Amino acid sequence: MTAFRLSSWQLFLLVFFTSFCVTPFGVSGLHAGLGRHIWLASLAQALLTMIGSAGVVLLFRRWPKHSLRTIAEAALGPAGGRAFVFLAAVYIWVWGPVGNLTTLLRMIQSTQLPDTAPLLIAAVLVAVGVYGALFGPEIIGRASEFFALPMLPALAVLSLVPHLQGEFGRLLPLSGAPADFWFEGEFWTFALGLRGFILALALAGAFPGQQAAWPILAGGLASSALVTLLSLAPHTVFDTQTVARFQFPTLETMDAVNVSAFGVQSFLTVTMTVWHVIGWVVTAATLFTAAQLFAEVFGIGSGGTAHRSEPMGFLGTHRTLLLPLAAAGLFVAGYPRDAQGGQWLTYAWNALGMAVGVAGPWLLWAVTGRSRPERRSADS
Amino acid sequence: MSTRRRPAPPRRASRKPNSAYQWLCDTIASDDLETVEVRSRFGLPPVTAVYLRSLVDRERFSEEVLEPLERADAGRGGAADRRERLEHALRTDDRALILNKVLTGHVALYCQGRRQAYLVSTELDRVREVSEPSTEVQLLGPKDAFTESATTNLNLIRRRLRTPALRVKKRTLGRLSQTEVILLYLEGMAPPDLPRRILDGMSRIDVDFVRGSNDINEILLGRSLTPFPLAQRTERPDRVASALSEGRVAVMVDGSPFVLLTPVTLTEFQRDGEINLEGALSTVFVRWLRYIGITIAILTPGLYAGLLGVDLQVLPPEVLLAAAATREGVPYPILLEIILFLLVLDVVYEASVQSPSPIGQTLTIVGSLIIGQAAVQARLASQLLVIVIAVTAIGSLLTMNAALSYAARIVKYPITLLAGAFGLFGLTLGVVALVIHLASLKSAGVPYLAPIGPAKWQDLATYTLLSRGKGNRRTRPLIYGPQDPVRAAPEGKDESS
Repeated sequence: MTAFRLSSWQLFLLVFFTSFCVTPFGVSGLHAGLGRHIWLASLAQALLTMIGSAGVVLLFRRWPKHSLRTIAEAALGPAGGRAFVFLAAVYIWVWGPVGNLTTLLRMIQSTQLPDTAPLLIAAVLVAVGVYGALFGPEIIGRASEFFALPMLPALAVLSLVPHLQGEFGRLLPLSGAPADFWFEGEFWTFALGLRGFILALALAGAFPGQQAAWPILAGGLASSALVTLLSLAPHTVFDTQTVARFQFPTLETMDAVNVSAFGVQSFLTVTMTVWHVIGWVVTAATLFTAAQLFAEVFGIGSGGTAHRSEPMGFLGTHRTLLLPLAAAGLFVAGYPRDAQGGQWLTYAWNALGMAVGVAGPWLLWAVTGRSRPERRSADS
Repeated sequence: MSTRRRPAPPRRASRKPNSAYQWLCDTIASDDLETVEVRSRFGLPPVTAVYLRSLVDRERFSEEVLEPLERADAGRGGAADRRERLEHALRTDDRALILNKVLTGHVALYCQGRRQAYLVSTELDRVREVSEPSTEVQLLGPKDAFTESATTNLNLIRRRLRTPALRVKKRTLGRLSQTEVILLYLEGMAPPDLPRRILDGMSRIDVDFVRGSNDINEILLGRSLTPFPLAQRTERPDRVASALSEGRVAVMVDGSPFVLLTPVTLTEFQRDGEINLEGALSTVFVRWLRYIGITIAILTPGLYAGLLGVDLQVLPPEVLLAAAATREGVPYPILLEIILFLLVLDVVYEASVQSPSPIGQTLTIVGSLIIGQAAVQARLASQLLVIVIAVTAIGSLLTMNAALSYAARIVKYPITLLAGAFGLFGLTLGVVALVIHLASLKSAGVPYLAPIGPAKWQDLATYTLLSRGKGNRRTRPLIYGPQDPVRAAPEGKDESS
């Protein structure tokens, strides 16, 4: 089997795109009392990112030849280890196929587009996500690189233009998170960068020997740091009201450029095009990772292959799980968000993220310091 | 004064049932197989020449076979003298070899009472002269193109690469066609395993007939369902020489005027001919025009269908009203309209390509002007649609490569359908699916989207997005993994030191 090859640039993009992606989960009111000093929350987020990531980094640096499952089993016993990986898979699955599609449905409904069937569009997105996940992270990374080429310069220009116009008040907080989410404590509960970083390590961690390679770490950390800084900057410069003006800051800036002059309404266009690219990256990457982790838990085959030209098993590999996971994600995303218990689901998901992304790796690191995980078999 | 006897004219030999060449006559059993008995003027036993009249050059046959045999003198060593006169002849009793050679235009010479044959090359080399390229016309480039003769083509390449590092490896493929396939590469430049892998691939090919380079392309490179070309076909020797110097390999098929270059990437096609442009600015300008061209070819119909058919509110009111006015009276939906006329466009294009030149030009005019104008007047299409179709057609032609142009023409259909069904959502997701497909392709082990994905920054800056003056290109394209990546020594540095 050919090993996956992920470059630091690809990981950087995966994390960066991931951090752009908004999921509708957050814990409200945690730091509403901070008032105009809300930037303290972002600063805390940056620190949390670094401290939280250190646990994951240290763990995989210590056991570079092991997967998350073998490490967890060595630390928590066979049942405990599998349970840990299972929870990590659930977290990632809820984040991508569920959270991403939920956001898409909300976005479509809020723009009130006629002639569009939201669930059908979400199904197309998840189908394209499955198509990408079938190939694995190397291909997803390559596609991300392709899209980064036009998107990153465009975003940079959009950030600069308001400055040239003298409207410093329109400085772009590139996080992409709607401001009302920020006040809900989106930043506090899980740092944007940390979330992407967990994904990056989970992607790389599926393949022994790769997860702790320095390029992987460098790419993931660089992206986390950039996203953190970008989201931190406006808070340190502007008061709360200024920041809160931007519900979709990238799109607001597009309006500042007044792209309508070219014949297209910028707000809707960007919503419908850029978001989908980012949404696809997250959906495909999380679908793959969740399927891989679930396959580990249930003992279904091993890692896939990086390219179709190689033998491409479907049954008996993690790919078997892609379709059920995608279909289930679509079903859950279509479930009414206002239903009773939705808020508790949000709390639970955030807590799960902290447990498997921050606390868990530290725990595993501490416990496996005394016991050595078993070597993985060569074929896995 | 010695008297010279006039030689007896060669006469058709009778095919004696048990003669040494009877098996050859039985195997070929064709009316253009000739057997001629050649008698020496000086008393040597006669020799029988067996050959295929349709493949043999009569003049060469006379000069290189008949005359030497007739002059062979028994007094000067007899058979030894005859051997000396047939200095290029190959002596063998290997029946498979004899059969093979006769089928490629050799003459088999059988001496009386011997099982062995002398094989003399007299094939009729009926090839057209080197002419200008017909499919890859360049304003400022060289004006010679490959022909159907592999020997001529090799000559054209060797004239441009006068280096002993040029390796030529020949294989014969096709059980019936016995086609000569030649692999070319530069030793010390191409990745060491690449020629070996391709030769291994050739040795595994077991087909009855090889028609041309495209057959080898599909068999050798494992072309799958993708419409995108995974090897570059060219008729330009300068392009092949340049590619070889960058560490790529070329596959030449005797009988085909097109040479395959591999590996190739998507962006490589946009570099066609830029070596003949002056300065980095012109190069970048042309390259970006081509990128825009292929983007237009793929996305314009989808944008039309998505924006005017589904996401109307994305358009400002003025634009929307203007577009709606052009569609007034058109009786069917936008998606149907665009798909129908895309089909018409492709039919016209294919008809003009397949037709002789004057008819093709007429078809193009009829298709583009008359049908378009008539359709608008009959309210079967909007004026905007005619513009969209025209822009799409021009964009697909700007790709400069026929195979890539076909790919662009094919993929625009699913993307247009998605856009027509889901608007910009569908268009974006169609593009995403296309990019996944492209990212999953490889050409001879090189990712098809390289150097964008995976990124090779140096190649991006020099060969893909931007460019440098020819004298400032220090490295060869790294995506192809050349053994020697340095193209030029740094300025001012004495290479000899």
